[in-house]
Amino acid sequence: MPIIVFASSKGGAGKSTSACLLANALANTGANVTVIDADPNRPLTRWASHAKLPDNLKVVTNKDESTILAEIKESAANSEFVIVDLEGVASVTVSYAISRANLVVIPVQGSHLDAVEAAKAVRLVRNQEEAFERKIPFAILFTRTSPAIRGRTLASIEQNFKEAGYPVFTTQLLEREAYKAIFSCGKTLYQLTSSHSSNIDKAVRNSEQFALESIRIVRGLPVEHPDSLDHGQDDKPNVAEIA
Amino acid sequence: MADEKRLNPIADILANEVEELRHGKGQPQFDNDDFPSADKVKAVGERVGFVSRDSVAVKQDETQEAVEVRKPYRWTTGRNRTTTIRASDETINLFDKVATKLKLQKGVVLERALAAFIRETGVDVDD
Ligand SMILES: Nc1ncnc2c1ncn2[C@@H]1O[C@H](COP(=O)(O)OP(=O)(O)OP(=O)(O)O)[C@@H](O)[C@H]1O
Ligand SMILES: [Mg+2]
Repeated sequence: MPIIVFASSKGGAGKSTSACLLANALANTGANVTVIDADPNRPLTRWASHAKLPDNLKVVTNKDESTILAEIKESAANSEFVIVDLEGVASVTVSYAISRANLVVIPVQGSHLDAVEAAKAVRLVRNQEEAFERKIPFAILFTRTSPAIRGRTLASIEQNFKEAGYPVFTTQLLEREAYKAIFSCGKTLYQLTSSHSSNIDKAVRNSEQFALESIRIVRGLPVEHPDSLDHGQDDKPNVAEIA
Repeated sequence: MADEKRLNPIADILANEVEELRHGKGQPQFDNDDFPSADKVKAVGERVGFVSRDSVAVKQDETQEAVEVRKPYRWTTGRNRTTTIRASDETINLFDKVATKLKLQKGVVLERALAAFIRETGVDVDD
């Protein structure tokens, strides 16, 4: 019953996509997964209304900030994993969700704006840790990164996070057509076929690696990548710096 | 068979992790009574700018180009009518896709598409 919360007040950082991918990957192992759509724009509720979800994956819609704590409590009692997708604003709902989290995933695309908003989320996590004397594991997740190139901005943001002592997921969620297709086609990642998108196997592997790392963090274990696994950068040519 | 498995070793490792978690290995303690009250959480959040939604104007980065158009804007554009159009799945999906790709409200896509169509066909729409 870990509760995994996706937070960043930056709109479009990749919260809903990453949350959906994690839910898909966990449900695919047979686990019971509840996604709480706590974004008033209801992106995942809409997705769930189109997609034919497996029985062990469900999306519930949170009403507003006054209901989120009860929603989390109820979902946690009824499922093995609770995943909370939040709106891209600095709201009380975000505070509430984080207060119950066993892992806070903070998605960041390679822009400084994303990094600034990520820092706000980290500040909130750390303030709560201090105020309530509870460790709240969190980690930055780079999303929509290129398989082939690693831009300078991304590298410098990574460096800043390192210096600030922010944990960063080893896995990056790559920019993948399949990750858009789940929404545009109204399917789970595992229901996609080559008619919906190319490179589905790579997309599956990348998101499962992200899920694996999430679980390791929740369990308080070091991230372990078997030698055969690449760290999300699964497309050659390899890392190159571009201006 | 072993080869087949090795095609996606991550799926197996992930399933294994979930199974271990299920058996309590590293399962986080979840006890709602231990958690801080809503009031306390709210107060800590407000100190770092996480405020009640009712009190924030709908926030949108000015630096970000035309993301989803939010309420106040919608009311001033005159794009407040709805219509039902029968179309194939394919067409509707394409419409969604274009709007998403261009990060435009569907009403805007429709306007631009019509303008393009009028240009292309030269049809006279002024009575
Ligand atoms: N890994 C990815 N590969 C390809 N496209 C992605 C990826 N992650 C996100 N996107 C795209 O980026 C856009 C924003 O992503 P998403 O909706 O997940 O962000 P968000 O943080 O939930 O946004 P909001 O703050 O509005 O809720 C969407 O169009 C989505 O399809
Ligand atoms: Mg979202």
